Amino acid sequence: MGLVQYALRRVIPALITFLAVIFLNFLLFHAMPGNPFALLLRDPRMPPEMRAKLAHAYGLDAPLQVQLLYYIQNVFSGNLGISLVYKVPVTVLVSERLVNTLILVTPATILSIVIGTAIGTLAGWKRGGKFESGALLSSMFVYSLPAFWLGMVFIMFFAVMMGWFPTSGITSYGMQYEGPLAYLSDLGAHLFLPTIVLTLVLLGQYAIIMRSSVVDVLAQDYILTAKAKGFEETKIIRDHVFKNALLPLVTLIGLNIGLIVGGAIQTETVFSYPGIGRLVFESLATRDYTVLEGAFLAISVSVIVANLITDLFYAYLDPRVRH
Amino acid sequence: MYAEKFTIYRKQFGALWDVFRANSLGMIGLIVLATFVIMALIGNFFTPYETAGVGTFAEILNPPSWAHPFGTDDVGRDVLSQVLKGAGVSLLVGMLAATISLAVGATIGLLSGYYRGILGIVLVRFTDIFLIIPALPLIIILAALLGSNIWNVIFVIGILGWPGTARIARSQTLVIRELPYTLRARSLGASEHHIILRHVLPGILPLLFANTVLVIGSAILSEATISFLGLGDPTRLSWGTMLNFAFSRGALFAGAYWYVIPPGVCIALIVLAFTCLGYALDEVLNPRLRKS
Amino acid sequence: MKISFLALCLTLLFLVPVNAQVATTPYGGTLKVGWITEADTLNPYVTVTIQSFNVFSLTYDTLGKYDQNMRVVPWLASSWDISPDGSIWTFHLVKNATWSDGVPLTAADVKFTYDFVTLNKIGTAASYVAGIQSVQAPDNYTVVITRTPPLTAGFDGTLAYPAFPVLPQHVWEKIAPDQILKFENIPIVGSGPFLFDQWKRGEFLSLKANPNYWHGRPYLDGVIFRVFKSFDTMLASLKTGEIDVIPTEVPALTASSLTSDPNIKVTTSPDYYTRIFTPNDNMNGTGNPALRDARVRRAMQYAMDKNLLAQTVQLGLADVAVSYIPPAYGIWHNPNVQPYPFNLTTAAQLLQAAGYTDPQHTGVRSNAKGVKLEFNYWVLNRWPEEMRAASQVQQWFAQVGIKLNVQATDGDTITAYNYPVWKYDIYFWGWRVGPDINRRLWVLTTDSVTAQWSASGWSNSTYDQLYDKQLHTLDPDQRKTIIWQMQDLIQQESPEIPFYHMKNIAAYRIDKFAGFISMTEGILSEINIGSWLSVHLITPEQATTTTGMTTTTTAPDNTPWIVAAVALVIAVAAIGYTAMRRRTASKD
Repeated sequence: MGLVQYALRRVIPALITFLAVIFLNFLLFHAMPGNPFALLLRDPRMPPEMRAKLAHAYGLDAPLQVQLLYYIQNVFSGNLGISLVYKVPVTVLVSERLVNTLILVTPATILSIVIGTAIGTLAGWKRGGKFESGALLSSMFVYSLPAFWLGMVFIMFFAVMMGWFPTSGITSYGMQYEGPLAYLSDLGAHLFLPTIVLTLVLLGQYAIIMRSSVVDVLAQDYILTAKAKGFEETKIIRDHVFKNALLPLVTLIGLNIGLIVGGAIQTETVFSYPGIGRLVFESLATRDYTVLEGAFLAISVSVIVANLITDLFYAYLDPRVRH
Repeated sequence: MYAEKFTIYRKQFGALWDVFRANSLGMIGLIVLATFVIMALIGNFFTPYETAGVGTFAEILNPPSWAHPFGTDDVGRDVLSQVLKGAGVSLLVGMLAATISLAVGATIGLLSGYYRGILGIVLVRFTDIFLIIPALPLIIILAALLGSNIWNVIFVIGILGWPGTARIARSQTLVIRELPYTLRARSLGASEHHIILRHVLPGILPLLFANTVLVIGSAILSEATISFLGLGDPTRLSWGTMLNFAFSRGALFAGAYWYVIPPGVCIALIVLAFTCLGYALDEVLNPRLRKS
Repeated sequence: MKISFLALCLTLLFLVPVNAQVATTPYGGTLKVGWITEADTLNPYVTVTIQSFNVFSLTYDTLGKYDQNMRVVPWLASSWDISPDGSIWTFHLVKNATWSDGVPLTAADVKFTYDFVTLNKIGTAASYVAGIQSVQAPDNYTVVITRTPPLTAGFDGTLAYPAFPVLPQHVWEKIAPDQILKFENIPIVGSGPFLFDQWKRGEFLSLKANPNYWHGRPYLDGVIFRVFKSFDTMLASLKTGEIDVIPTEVPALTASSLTSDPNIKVTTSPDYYTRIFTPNDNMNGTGNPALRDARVRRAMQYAMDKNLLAQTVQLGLADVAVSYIPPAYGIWHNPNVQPYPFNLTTAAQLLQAAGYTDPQHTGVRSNAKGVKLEFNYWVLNRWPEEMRAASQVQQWFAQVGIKLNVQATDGDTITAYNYPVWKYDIYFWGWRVGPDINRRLWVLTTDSVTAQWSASGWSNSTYDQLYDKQLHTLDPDQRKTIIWQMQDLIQQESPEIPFYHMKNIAAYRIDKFAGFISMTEGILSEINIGSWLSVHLITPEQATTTTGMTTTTTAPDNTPWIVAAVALVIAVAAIGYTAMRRRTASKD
């Protein structure tokens, strides 16, 4: 079938997952006994007219099923409530922070994929050698590092002791920049350490996956055929091994986006980077449940969308899966 | 009859062990793990210093010395003793949480693979959904909503670690389901109950075992992260809470590297041990990856 | 005539150099202050945070102010006369004060400020108008306050605390009575040295200098209170110069690591701030009933070594609390209160005597009615040092048969379970109500329970009577006796167990601004208006006449990261290149 038809078919499970997340959110925040919304009614920060508004919008006096419908309706109309702490709409807060997170996560993911796949391919190609064991062991070690700890160590050495980088934030506060270059330079200085940390933490799994993928492909018959035919090694790698080994990697990248999220949350917390990961942590600490709920929803949606994209990319690369 | 079975198992195990021994990665993992088990035992039964509560003013944030090889922390407690004790906590939490994941994941995976009807489809979708939903935010939220004591943390980590196990359980179940001896048992009229318990379950266990070892590693990492974020019990020692206090009390700014480095290195190494073991076991039990 | 002309010239000659010196103190600069706790609201009748009082002290005026010796001296009222019996106070206001919207400040505003509270029965401000029979404004700049006998002590304190500033009649009289507590009060219309600029919740609150301030405009162009989520970020910002001052609550452990920086000064001052172990004493509450028994509370006192905690957790920078009232309160502080020495055996005996036993050695005592000595203990998550202390308290308690479940939580949760539901066991809190001893004593009265200010929900009629008596005792020695007696009673009943009286620890940069004046509560507290008006830029070169966020932060040196990034790119490219070359060269 065509790519478009396949895409449409994949959208439906994604939508189901989205609804499942909404339901999960509802369960956690509205339905569980001792749930936050029950606490909200007693929250001293809640102005009375807001309480009435919320009670009406969420139908807090209505039976649970009705509340669920209210919630679904709210989500689809883009109303995620108001932050208890910041007193601004949750959607505004969440989108600001999401952009910041993307600025951090995108270069880190790209770098980690590039470096990880390179190491993994090489390790898979040179099976049985010292390089393979060494690369595998170091990839596993890096994969085992807690992201928050790596961040702490980097801050301690490079920011505090050496003073080469700022210790936190996204830009220096209250700065007036002479021009866009100065702004970018400040931004870069703040982004450097967190990006390195996130890259390191992610590349391990890509290297490991790529290696086993390459090993799998190398065992296939068509490779032996190509070798028997006397093709050059680089040609074999480029034309056959790499592309075919990439396929499972793409799927696995999609499934492991959760790891990227986890890494981002930890990195942002340690570096006080104002992204959506840190928002989860902050809103938890301040019991800002409307924001927490909204942030979780936003993260889940991003992951679902990213997953969908990788699915489609996989289908684009390998037409065989389209039915 | 049992004596025969025992000898067969012993021979099978012996063969596997030989393969395993040749796998250098696995051996490294085993050795590192053994080291941590020893550390945990020492930490549990004999630590030179008290680790609970607070120490004295003179001992706050002392750099490493003969008396304190890893220095002291923000309240004057010996870091090395805490590191030793923390090993036991990590191992305990990891294994308990992984057991929960195994139980839940194996059940769901097996059932979703065995039953093709509505139940199977629903379970598969359910698994897929939880595979996609990012784990850490959900763990954080649940840990916060349920309260910060160690049992809640173990429960939450365990409950959210099942999708990967379920997927493996399912794919293996699908294979075993179609194997000749399963089909034979069915045609002979064996009950589903019997088939699942006697044929499928033992068949998927080896790969699940390899996977569970990996899950232990990831559970330990999750516990460390939760404790670092302050969602664990602040009075219960773990490597994660050590790092939490190091961070929140300004050890970074004080340059107290002896307080920051050891707990993190230990977390990394113990997770590495389980990861190496898991991959080695996977290689041993998965013929395609075995070196020819 | 000639001589007086000569005298005039000579006088002028003297004056000129003095004026020239004064003129060299530059105007300008925006002071950036770090807040770890943010103001909750800018409505003076609703707020509970001291940060709000900080803002009020800068945007409003009070009739008097505290000088460095903690005496109330004239301020908005340039003088006052007191009748011999003390019941009639006549205030003479300055004549050039104006509100930020241009309307002149007159005696009518002062009269309105008092009448407003009485008329609308605003509970939180009741203590400021207590005992006042009438407030008259015979002319635009004279206010006569008539107090009813029996007169209350400490009246002058009510004139000087920014929680009760002079409010503009033309703004507040328009508010309907049921809207008063909901009034946001943004922008603040005030008469103070600074004007309200903007407030972006969770980020910053900014003020600009009031050029028409009756006392003369402040040297600073503006103030920005920047909100931080965690202390380490705030500390980092101080070190890089992104903020200039952290005026309070610098943790002890961090303070010691700051002293090595030559550009940062750390000061400690006496403070009225106590950190308190607060059990739920409310008889109608749903906390563990064992806590309502004073014997249990006394036993807990014996089971805690506050000296050790003050040393190890607060690094000796806090004073161990014996009396509930900090020494900063001067003569009102009772230094003779009997301390509870740390003695676990005594603690265990007292628990036994109170009927709590553990015959089966479970580790937790219980009494005949089945009440177990197991308590939930809440500690603020922004005080990691107190969580450390809590784990030690947990250890001590375990040795006498009390099980303490320590939980980290936030201030709002504690408040939500505090009043009016009284649904908690024990939490660790801090009391900071300023220099007014009446206010400090009031928080343990039954009235404070109904007013939803009490932290422990304790109610004791003897204490209430003593409070009322000292309130109406004008003779300082007699009043002192009663107040000392109250402290003994508090120690005896232990409704709240103070751990330490915190010192104000502040940290500020000395390379940009000067003129910080230290007094009780620190360099830039809500009562230190003198310091706020004295802080100025160091050199004239850095002065500027523009308002707004002028910054003297030097741009951070960003070359390291650019170098590192380029190096990284080269490294990755090199790896890739050699890898490709190796592939072509090697054989399978």
